[in-house]
Formats: sequence, structure tokens, C-alpha cells
Amino acid sequence: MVTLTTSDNETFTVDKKVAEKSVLIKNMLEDVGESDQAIPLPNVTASVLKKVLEWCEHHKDDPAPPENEDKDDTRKRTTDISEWDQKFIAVDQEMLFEIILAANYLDIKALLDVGCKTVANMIKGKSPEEIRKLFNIVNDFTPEEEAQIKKENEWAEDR
Amino acid sequence: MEGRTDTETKADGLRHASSLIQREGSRPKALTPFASPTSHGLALRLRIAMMEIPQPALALHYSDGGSLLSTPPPHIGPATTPERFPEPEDKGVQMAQGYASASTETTSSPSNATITPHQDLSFKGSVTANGDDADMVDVVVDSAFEDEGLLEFLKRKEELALGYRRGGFAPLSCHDRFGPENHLAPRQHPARVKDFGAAHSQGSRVIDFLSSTTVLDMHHVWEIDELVRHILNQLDKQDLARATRVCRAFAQLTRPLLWEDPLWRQLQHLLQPDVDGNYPSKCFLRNKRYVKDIAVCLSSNSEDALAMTTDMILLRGWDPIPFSMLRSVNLTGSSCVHLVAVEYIVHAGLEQLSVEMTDETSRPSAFANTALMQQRAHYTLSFLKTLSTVAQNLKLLSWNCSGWIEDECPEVVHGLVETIRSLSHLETAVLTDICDLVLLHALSEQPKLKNLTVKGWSRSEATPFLALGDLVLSRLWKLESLTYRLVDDVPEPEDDLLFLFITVGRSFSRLENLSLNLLWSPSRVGGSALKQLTALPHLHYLECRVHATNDDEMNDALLAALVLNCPELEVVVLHWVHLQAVTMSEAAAWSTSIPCARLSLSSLQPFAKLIHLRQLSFHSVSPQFTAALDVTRPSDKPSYIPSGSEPRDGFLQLDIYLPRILDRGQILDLKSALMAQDTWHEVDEMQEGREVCDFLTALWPRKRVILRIHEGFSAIWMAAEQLLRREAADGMTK
Repeated sequence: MVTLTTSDNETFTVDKKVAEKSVLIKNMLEDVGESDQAIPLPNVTASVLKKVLEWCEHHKDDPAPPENEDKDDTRKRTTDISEWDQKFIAVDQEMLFEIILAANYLDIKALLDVGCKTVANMIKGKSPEEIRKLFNIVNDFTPEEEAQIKKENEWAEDR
Repeated sequence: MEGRTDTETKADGLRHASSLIQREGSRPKALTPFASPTSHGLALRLRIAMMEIPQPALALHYSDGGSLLSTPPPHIGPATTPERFPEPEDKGVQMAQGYASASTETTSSPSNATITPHQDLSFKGSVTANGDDADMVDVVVDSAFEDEGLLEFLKRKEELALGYRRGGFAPLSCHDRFGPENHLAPRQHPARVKDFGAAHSQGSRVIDFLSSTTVLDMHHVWEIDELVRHILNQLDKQDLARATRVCRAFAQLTRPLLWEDPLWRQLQHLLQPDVDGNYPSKCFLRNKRYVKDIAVCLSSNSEDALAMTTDMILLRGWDPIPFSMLRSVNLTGSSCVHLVAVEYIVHAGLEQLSVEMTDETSRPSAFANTALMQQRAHYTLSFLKTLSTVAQNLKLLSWNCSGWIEDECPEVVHGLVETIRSLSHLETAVLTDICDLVLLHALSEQPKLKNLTVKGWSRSEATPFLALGDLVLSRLWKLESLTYRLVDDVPEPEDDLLFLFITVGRSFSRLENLSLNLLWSPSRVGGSALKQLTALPHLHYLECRVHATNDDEMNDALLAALVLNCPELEVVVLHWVHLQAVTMSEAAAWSTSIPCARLSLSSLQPFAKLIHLRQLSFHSVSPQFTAALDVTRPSDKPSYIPSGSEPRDGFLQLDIYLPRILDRGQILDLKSALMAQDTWHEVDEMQEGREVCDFLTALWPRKRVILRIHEGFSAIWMAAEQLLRREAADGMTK
């Protein structure tokens, strides 16, 4: 078993196999060796870690992704998410982003993919204004700039 | 100041500020350059609107006491809006960076607002001022120097028209992000609060606007470029194009993705002169550095080819390496004339080249005139020579020339052989419609070759397997992937298979991917041959596409016969403990008008013992896979239980490919017709899917099954079949 301490000082004790879904924790365990000491996770709160561990528990038996998958930088452009993951990630936007940050920090690539694909699905088919509104992004273009960018990228929309 | 309008005053104020900044130098010597904000950090942006402020809106003092702007501006001028998007060479922005102190207090009325000195506030940051469109000044506070006191102060000042944001894309980081070549780099317009431009144009009071604007928090995940890129990476071109217009940071991140793999016809369009008469257009010049992969898919008419060649020559004249980041060129369906054009963009950095000449100019020599034959031989030789001298770092070469090279041009074959020999980094070779023994020799000498695909008709007098076995297989000990497709009907398939599999099994201990695509009758494939492949311990992927003859169709009965004929199959299957993907193709009788159930899910049962199986593709021409469920279900108790220490996979993805119907309009028409004849029955595809899942779960009880059904129009097919049967019965009756 592995003990994890969150930024708000909550402690989680989980199966080592579950914890090792995180490459960060796996590496730490390898470096430290067998120890009863809790692993501090200063960038993750308890509520987020709870969700992350729920995902890790469910996916603990999943095989590791092929090594060459990381090397391949081509875009997949697929946003297929398994049914369970869809239900898992059906959270409010704040939590979704926190899960993404936590997955990035803990180095859980599959969870990061699920989070990013979910956000990508939210973006799909939306106009720039809708995207801004959805994520509270400030439009720092002038209307002229935006019009010009639109004109420049018309070719891509015809594809 | 008498007689001057507010707008004139504030514009002049900014101009004066700019001149002072310039005079002091863009980075005054007393100032300490501060670190660029990290994408993770807190970016705090303080906006101070100038347009409503008749007096100097913002007093900025250097820490050494120097004043940046403290007196009323001497000149008044109207604010202007630039007509064009600023180009890199624009010089409209002056920046000062360093320590500054802002002293502000605002009193506002519906028509006016005044900021007067009230409280000194020191921070580090940057100030962007613009003389042409001086609506506002951005004061950016670097997160590395964030001050809790400042934050508190700003919060208190929010109602005084000091908009602030925690998070968000800081203008400062934009300066860092945008390179000098980027047309967005000189931010002539500071970032605006949402809808600010509209408020401005309507002449409403900025104070009113700002005080009524709800400044919402943007999650700081959007500040981390790597994560934003990861998200944007999932989008297709259309969505990417839209995302480009969201904000500058998105634009900067999406542009490389948008431009990395254009089609040539799209680039051609962008090569046209722009409105200013620039050729190539500035848009093209700005973005060509992102192009990594070009797909050329043009019609074979000479005008297209000529236009492409002309463009390439012009581009080459403008820049010796027009696409410096180009890594991959994919030439499909084109003629040998296009090779001339592509020759101009070949450079040392090219890693992948795929050439497929299948148009009418690539017709076999029996149908080609002498001029065409000479022309294509000349162009191809020239291209191959360029490849061998310039593109020696090529790692992937895919060559498909419809077989005419082997037919008529031994000198071109020789050129191809020499080219392959010169490509010492070659890792993947795909040869289609060419099976020359010398060429296979050349490939066998490639020290880094890992993936070899040979497709096409064999013209060798020796059997293709003997040729391959003698010349290639024994030498390529690093080979990890072999795709061998020969459509010759082999007279003695069992012997040839045996020889091939023995050679493969003995030669490639590293082989992970084996794909055999052969014209054999499955009933003639014996297990003794297949057993030889058990010598491949690393096999991960096995694809054995057996193209049945007209007499044989791949169906359950035939598969059962195959299993019966191959008692070792079970042993063989269990031997490949690493096997992860199996593809079964019901390829025969594709053109049969009435689909009928042949290959069913019961065929999957032998594979239930592959505990590592992760992907199972099931190509079926039979639309109803539920019919296939009428087989004896496996018992609830799994036939093979892995021990606790044995690693197990957690999921199995099953892809079921149903008949492909391309024209959706036709489907809808058919549906209407079928409904009119009362042969249409709605099929609950979800229920179908669930049943399949149940079946698979029973087969692989310890796996989570992911079922993906492609082209699922089973209801249409079922109804069509009913209709056709009824019509056939009616015809019999009559």
C-alpha cells in the first residue's frame, strides 16, 4: 500500500498498483524504495486526488500504452472516449480542468488524454465566440485581426 | 488643454508617453529586466482605460525617480484604427519594462472620469503604449513578482474601473510567445476586455462599461501551452481554424497544427498573389515554416502538373529550400510529370516519401506510346537521382508505379536499386507492383530496415516465396514488420506456405507484425505451415487475409474446416502470448448482391484464449451479427484462468466493420422505399450492441469489452434482404 498526502493535508492509502498508474509516483517509489512515509502531492487537492484515484482504480489492469505511441507526434484527432470514462469525466468545468492539471502533474497520460479529449469535444463545432464564452477566454484580437485570420484560414475550413 | 477633446487628449498623452519611452530607451538602464512569466504562473493584468481621462491617466515612475508620464500631452490627435493587420516590420509599439509605480485614484461621473494621485504602488511589469490607437495602456505585472498587497489593492479598486484578471493570457507572455517573424508579435492593440471594442465604437463611457462588465475567471489550464496544445491536437482542421480566432495564444498554438499537413491544392491557392500583389502571399510566407507534410493529390492533366511545376520553380527561385521543415511528401494518383515538381522541394531533411503513380500516364507499356514511355522514364530517373544525392536521410520510401518500370525500363529499375542502396537510413520500404530480385537484394543490404512491405504481381520465374526467402529474409534480422502480398495463384500453396513460414520463423526473431495477404483458398491452408510461425515469440500483430477464390467464401463453415484441418491452431494461438490484434476479413464475394450471414461471432471463440488480445477487427459483409449469436455460448466459467502472477490485459476492443455504404442519400431513399413496402423494421442497434458485448464478455470474462461498430446500417440491409427474398418468392410463384 502507498500513502499519499494532498495539498490540503488529507491522506489517502491506496494499492501500489493503483498508485503506480502515475508515472510520477511510480518513479518516486522506485527512487525511495520500500517506505512507510507518505508521498506528498503538493499540487493536488483531496477532492481532485479522490477522482484521480477512482480513475486509476478502474484502469489499474489496463496495459501500458505502446512505447512508440509517445514518439509518434502525429495528431490522432479522435475524441473517442469509453463509456465509463465519459461518465467519470462528467464533472463541472472547474473539476475537469483540475483533473487535467493533476493528470499532467502526476503524469497519467491516459487520464490526461481523457480530460483533453473531453475539452476538445466541448470545443468541437463551436464558433470562436462560443468557445470564448464557454471558457471565459478574453478576445484579444481587434475585429480587423480576427477577420484577417478568418480569411487566412478559410482554406482549412474547406478541407 | 482648453478646447481639446478628451479623445485628442488621451491620444496625445499616449504619444507623449511613447516618445518619452523611446527617449529613455526601451529598457532604461535603471530598470532591472524581469523574468518572463511562466505559463504556469499567475498573470495579473491591470488595464487602465485612457479614453475617458482628460488628465494624464497614469503616472509611471521609474524606481530611480524618473517620470515616464506626468504632464499633460502637448499635442492632440485623433485615435486611428489601422486598416491592416500589423506586419512584423510594423514599428507602432513601444514598450518599457521594469519597475514602475502607479498612482491612481478615480472619480467618475456618467460622462467623465478622473484619475488623480492617491497611493503609490510599486510593482514590476511592462507597459505597452501605442501612439496610433491609444485607447488604453496595459500594465502587466509579472507573476514572479506578484505582490499580495498589490492584489488586494487592485481588488479594492475594481469598482473604480480598474479591471483585473487573475489568469488569462497575459499580454506579456504573448510577446514572449510570438517570435519576431510572427505577424501577431507587435501587439499594436493591447488585449481588450471582452466587447470593449464595441463599447468604444459606440462612444459609451468606458467607466460605465468596465464597471458593468463581469470579469470572469479563466481557468489557468489555458495558460499552460503544453496542455492547450494537447487539447487542440484533438481537433480536426475545421475546428482548428475556428479555434485560431479565439485569442492570440490559441492562434499561436493552432497555427503549426493547422499548417503542418496541407494538401498541395490548398497551398497552391495560398501561393496566389495577395491583395497587395505580393507573390507568394505574405500569409504563405508567414506559415510555410510550419509545413511538415505535403500531400499532392492532383488530377493528371498536364495543366495541373505544369502549374505545380511552375509554382515550385518560382518558389525555389525565391528560396532554395521552400519548406525547410518538410518531413514527408505523399504523392498519390498523380503522373510522372508531378515528379518534376516534387523534385524541387526534396531536401536533406526529408524523411518520408510516398509515390503512387496510378494515373493514365502510368499505364502498362502495352498501352503506352513511345513518347510517353520515354518521358516517364526520363522524369523518374531524374527524380531518383535527386533522391539518392539529396534525400539521403530518407527513412520511409513507398514506391508504386503500376508496374511499368519493371515492364519496360531496366534502367529505371537500376536507378531505383541505386537509390535504395544510397538510403542508408531506410527503415521502412513499401514496394508495390515491383518484385525485382535485384531490388530485393538491395533491400536486404539495408542495415536499418525494420518494416518491409512487398505487394503485387510477381514476375519472377522463381516462386515469390523462394525469391523472398533466398534473398531477403535471411539477412534482415532486424525486421520487425513484414507485409507480404502477392496475388499470384500459387499452384502448391501448402508447400509454398510451409517454406515461407519456415523462413519467416527462422529468420526473424524480432518480428512483431506479420501481415500476409494472399490469394489462397483457405481450405488449402494447412496447420503444419502455420505452426512454423510459433517460432516468432514477439509477434504482436498477425493479419492473414485470405482472399478466397470465387468458389470459396470465407464463412463459418469454412473457418470450421480450417480449424479442423489445422488441429494445431489452438496450440498456435496459445503460443503467441503477446498477440494483441487479429484481423479477420470476410473479403470474398464482395459484389454479391444479397448479403447473407457467413462469418459470425462464433469465429471468435478460438481467440478467447488469447489473454493479451487488445484489438480484434472483424470485417464482415454480413449485416446481422445478432444472427451469429445463435451459437452455444461459452460457459460462464472461463476456459482459461490466468494465474494471479500472470499479467492480464484489462480490455478488449472489438471493431466490427459492416458493409460500407457511401451514399447516405441512397440509404434514405432505400429506407423510404422499404417502409412503403412494409419491409422496414426498426432495429435496436443498441440492443444488438449489448448482445454482442454480452457474448464477448462471456468469451473474455476478465476483460472490459469496448465495442465499436463501423458503418452500422444493419437495419437497411436486413430490410433489403427481406424485400429481395419476397420478390424472389413472388417471382417463383408467378
